[in-house]
Amino acid sequence: MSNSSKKQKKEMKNSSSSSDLISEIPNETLVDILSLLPMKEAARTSVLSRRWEKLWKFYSGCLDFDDLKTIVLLNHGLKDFDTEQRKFSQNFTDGLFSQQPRKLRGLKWIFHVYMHLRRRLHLARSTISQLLINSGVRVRTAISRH
Amino acid sequence: MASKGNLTLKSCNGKEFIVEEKVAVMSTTIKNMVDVDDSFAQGVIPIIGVDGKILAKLIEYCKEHAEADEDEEVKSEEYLKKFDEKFVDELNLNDLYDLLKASNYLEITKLLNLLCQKVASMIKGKKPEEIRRIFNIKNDFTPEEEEEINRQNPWAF
Repeated sequence: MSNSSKKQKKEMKNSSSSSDLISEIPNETLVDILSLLPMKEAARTSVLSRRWEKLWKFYSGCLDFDDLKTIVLLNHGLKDFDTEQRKFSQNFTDGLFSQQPRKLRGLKWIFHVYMHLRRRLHLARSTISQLLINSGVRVRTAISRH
Repeated sequence: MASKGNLTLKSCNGKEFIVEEKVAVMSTTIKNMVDVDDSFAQGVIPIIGVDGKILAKLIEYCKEHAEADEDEEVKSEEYLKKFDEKFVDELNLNDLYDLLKASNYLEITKLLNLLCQKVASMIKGKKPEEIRRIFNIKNDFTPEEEEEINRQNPWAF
């Protein structure tokens, strides 16, 4: 008797929390939805809940590493290049390697090259090609110069 | 029983719909069933886990698109676009979820893409608290864990 009333209570609890209907949507569909968003917006959903934290890792939209703001600050001497370079590479590798090998819709990696950064460009380009090959990402790369 | 060229689909709550084969096979799942086993084409195809209301919606969508695929003059691209917009705009959140699940299971790719676009547009430009509220997502992180995630991806926030 107490068992069945416990069960009933549990069922009631379940039905009251069933307003969280999005939890019934399969992961693959939620990943498809995330992949339609710009990378930053998709990454922000990692803070929603434990489930969403994992979903973002399967993002297959356009990986976008266009960080103009940082470059402007660098140019004004307000940020240290080496620190920023390290952070940028970290984000980049996190973005690629934290995820499963998969087909990406695109990769946008724009480094706004200023005179003092130009000599580093060659190095950065070969690093990225290597990263892509290593991570098994099939992607048509367009690295634009500014 | 459905006449030749028609299929009978049966929802999980017993509602039967007779639809043209070209409409039903917009669903890859149904197409595979019919291709593999001819008896499905003669009898009733059970659509597991999809109720009559949602199945009617699915058929409404597939009918428009199947007809458009067949004759672009009658149903132009412009017409379909308007139809799609109206179709998703009229959905409440429950129907949206049910259709997402059903179009995923039945592999109706066009509709699945349309619905995913709709949900993405509901997320876009919103703060995490707003997204949680819209979709009723329970925040099961401790404040410390939430802080840690914010710290891990500083570029995203």
